[in-house]
Amino acid sequence: MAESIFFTLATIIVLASLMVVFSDNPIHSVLFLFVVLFAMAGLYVLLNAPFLAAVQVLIYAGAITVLILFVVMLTSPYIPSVKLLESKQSDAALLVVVVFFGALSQILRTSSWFDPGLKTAPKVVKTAKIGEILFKEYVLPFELASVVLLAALIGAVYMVSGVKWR
Amino acid sequence: MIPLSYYLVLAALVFCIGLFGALVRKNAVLVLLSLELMLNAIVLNLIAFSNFATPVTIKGQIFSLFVMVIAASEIGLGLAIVLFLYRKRATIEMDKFTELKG
Repeated sequence: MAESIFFTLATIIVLASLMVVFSDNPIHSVLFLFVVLFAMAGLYVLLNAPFLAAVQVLIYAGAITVLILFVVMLTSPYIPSVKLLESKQSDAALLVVVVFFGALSQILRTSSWFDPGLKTAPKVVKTAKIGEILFKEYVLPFELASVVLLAALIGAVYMVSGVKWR
Repeated sequence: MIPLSYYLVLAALVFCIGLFGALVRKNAVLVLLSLELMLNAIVLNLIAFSNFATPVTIKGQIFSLFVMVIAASEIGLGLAIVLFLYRKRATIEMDKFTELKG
């Protein structure tokens, strides 16, 4: 059961992420990214992380995709002439990616993580436990993350507003 | 159950697809999209390791929450930069921004 769900989701993720990269129309790319993020949320549920699945759907699939969609509509009209494979870099990029993937899979095969005897956690992690750990052990990083978010927000607003800093 | 290596291989595949996109696409927004793909592959890795290696302390899940926060601020700032460039130069093709070549 779990295997068939995993393989369905994995196929969806790989095909949709290929479409994100290879689609000519930027709007289609964003919509396929939405599919990837949603299927990833399904995998998080399989990995006993329902809270992160919910966060993924709410923040990534909900907010970030819509934000990117707005920017795509504001900046790039559909230009069919921008063909991907005519890019001068694509051969070199393909080489880099193939070498990188080969190195990654080599590391994977020789590591102890490849052992099929590894077992998953017996039960689902409760959301209350995540909150407990987050606010007991990781309070300082949590506050720092909020400062980073605030700084990014102010920076984004300042950059787009066009106000000169004097 | 599904072994850990399946998740790692899937994450490596998605990461490589995202890397290819980030290297090849000319549209700046699509480069950001490819970055999002790569970040998601990393988050998948972290959650898989959290499930298999630290199921009690769930360090990977906590860490992936922070990765999501940073990714959100990164995409916000990146899109602001893209809009700024579009207003200044009326294009967002990466090949056109060559001022730093010297």
